[in-house]
Amino acid sequence: MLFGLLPLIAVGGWSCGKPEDHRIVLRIATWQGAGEGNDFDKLVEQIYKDFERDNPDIKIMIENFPGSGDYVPKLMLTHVANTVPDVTVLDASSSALFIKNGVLQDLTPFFDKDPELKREQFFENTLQAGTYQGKLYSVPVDFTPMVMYYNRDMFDAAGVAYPKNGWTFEDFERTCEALKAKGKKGFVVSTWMPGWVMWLWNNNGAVLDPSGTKANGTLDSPQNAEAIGFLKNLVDKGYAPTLSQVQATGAEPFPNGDVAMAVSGHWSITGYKSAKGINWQHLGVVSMPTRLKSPVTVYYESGLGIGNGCRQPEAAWRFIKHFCSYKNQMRYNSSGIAIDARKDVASERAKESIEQDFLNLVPGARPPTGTQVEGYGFVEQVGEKMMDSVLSGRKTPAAALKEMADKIDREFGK
Amino acid sequence: MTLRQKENRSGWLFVAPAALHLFVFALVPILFSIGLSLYRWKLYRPEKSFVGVDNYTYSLRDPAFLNSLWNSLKYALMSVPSGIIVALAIAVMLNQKMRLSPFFRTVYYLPAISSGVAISMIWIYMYLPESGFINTVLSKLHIGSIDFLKDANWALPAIAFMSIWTGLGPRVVLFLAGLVGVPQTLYEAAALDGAVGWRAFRSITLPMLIPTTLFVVVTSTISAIQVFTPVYMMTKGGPEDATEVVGYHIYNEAWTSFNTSLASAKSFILFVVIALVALVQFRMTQKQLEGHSTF
Repeated sequence: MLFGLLPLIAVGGWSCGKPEDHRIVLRIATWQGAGEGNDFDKLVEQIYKDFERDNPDIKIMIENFPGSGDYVPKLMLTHVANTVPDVTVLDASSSALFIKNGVLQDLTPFFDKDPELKREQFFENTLQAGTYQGKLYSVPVDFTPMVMYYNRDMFDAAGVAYPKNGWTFEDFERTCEALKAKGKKGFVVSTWMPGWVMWLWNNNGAVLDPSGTKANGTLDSPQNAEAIGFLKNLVDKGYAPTLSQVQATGAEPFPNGDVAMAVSGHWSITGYKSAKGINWQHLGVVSMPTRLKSPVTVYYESGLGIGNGCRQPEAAWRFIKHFCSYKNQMRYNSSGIAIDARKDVASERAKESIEQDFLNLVPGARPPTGTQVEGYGFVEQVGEKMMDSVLSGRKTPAAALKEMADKIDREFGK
Repeated sequence: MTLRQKENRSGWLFVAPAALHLFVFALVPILFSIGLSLYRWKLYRPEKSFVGVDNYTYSLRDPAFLNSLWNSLKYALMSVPSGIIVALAIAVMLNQKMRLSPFFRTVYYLPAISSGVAISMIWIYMYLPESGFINTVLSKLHIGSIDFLKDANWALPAIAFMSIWTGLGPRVVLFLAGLVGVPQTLYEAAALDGAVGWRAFRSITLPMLIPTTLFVVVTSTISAIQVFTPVYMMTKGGPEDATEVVGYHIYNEAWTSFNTSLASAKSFILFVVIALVALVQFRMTQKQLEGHSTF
């Protein structure tokens, strides 16, 4: 059916530059779906309207791809049908797929000649997410390092000292033990791979070999088995709830006030603000526990790119400049969903203490592997199943990692 | 132009929209997919190489694909016979002349017109360990909590159990139609010979429903082997690939890994499997029909 639709998409879609009311039509793809009409949606809509007001020769046409999980295949299908939207939101986790396959235009010339928008305005690591072979394919909008949130109220009630940046696996375990002694669960272990992959990194492990093409010999390493075993032990020792216990509540344990610590990104703050189980103003943010000299974590980022078929790239660049301007990013980021990729906006917002805590962790944040490895989505999919099998006690960490490595290598060998 | 020619032309014009639709949305994709399955080709890349039947031989040796096929067959075995028995029992009850029969016919059909996604979301909550409805009932019976969707032994049966309810509507309607077609005179004649109740059901209703049952078995088996939505929504193929059914596997092959040519080959293998299963079912039921022809 989809194959049948492809020619129709190709015929039905129209590209940047087709005049309508004598205006350039700029197609902009987002993963926000139909939208809920909430304050954030209205804010974004206003940014679009302001652009049309300031640029009367351009009409914006938003293409909301429903379902964030399906954004990648749907956007790739537009590439197959030669109807890539003029401006696309790009998720760093899957950017390699789009960049390496020519879905996006090189933005380096735009940056080089633009008098206002400069690379120096952005955090260096966020630029890395959209860079391939020295060329820049997306302008970063916002990002977040994955961090350890902790609930100060629960720590205070248990009389346990707050964690500090640079703490070790052992410090973390002692903290969990102290919290347990006061009848509290310390942590919640997630099966979601983007939420646990940095435990491997902080134990000097990795998922793929340096070429990014092979998992056996790297993923099944003793240090990775040790890191996964460490997480499993947290559950076995009662420092973290079991998967069944988490499921049974039907709610997330950290915002529910069931556990004192959790790993997540900045986006969680928007939910934490309305959570009944915690006071978000009493939350702290600290680095991931580590066995390295300094902690590392992953950051997730979104940016804007220009589609390969865009016939009016100058107009698309004007839109990107408008969206990424200081004024509009100050508005956009007021939602608190992430850290702004612009250093000036981020430092302005860092007047709130938790924001500064996030910024302190930016230097140790690495881009996700999906920025370099095409098809990393598969790795994350099998990673979730691997962690699930370990946490539920069906497999040892070593056996589960070996099985995962075999699956990845078989997949990458296809 | 003769009248016959005029009629022919009108006939062609009438079938043209449907034929065009079939051509564009069925025939072309099928032919394209057959061609695709003979290449090593990621759709989004220009380079492709002809590999003949390599994608088919690879698929038949791919442990993940074979596991997904096996899971689908297990799912069909779990959901189809039980689903048909329950549907038949309900159809027989609804066929009685009761005041509330029309109401219950509507109630039992509701899952068929509900969104599969919404139903799956509700059943996720029904299956929650400890606090879920089913575990609450089990705890009243002093049975320990079961983490249905996270336990590799329970996840597939749990989805199959759900499908008994979701697939009820169309099956009940078909059986009701079959029951209406059973001549009342047969029951009257049997009653004279003393055959009523279970005996009449076994000797009259069941044999007379064989054509309907055949249709229900074949269509239910085909849709069971193609199950996708509840797996996508409830388990994502986990835990430990225990619910990785073939439809979900092919979907991921095509749209997560973008191995579209391999996904096409697997789709045609699935087509052959379904055709074989349907053929076996037709043959078996045909024998039963012949056996009862002297009734």
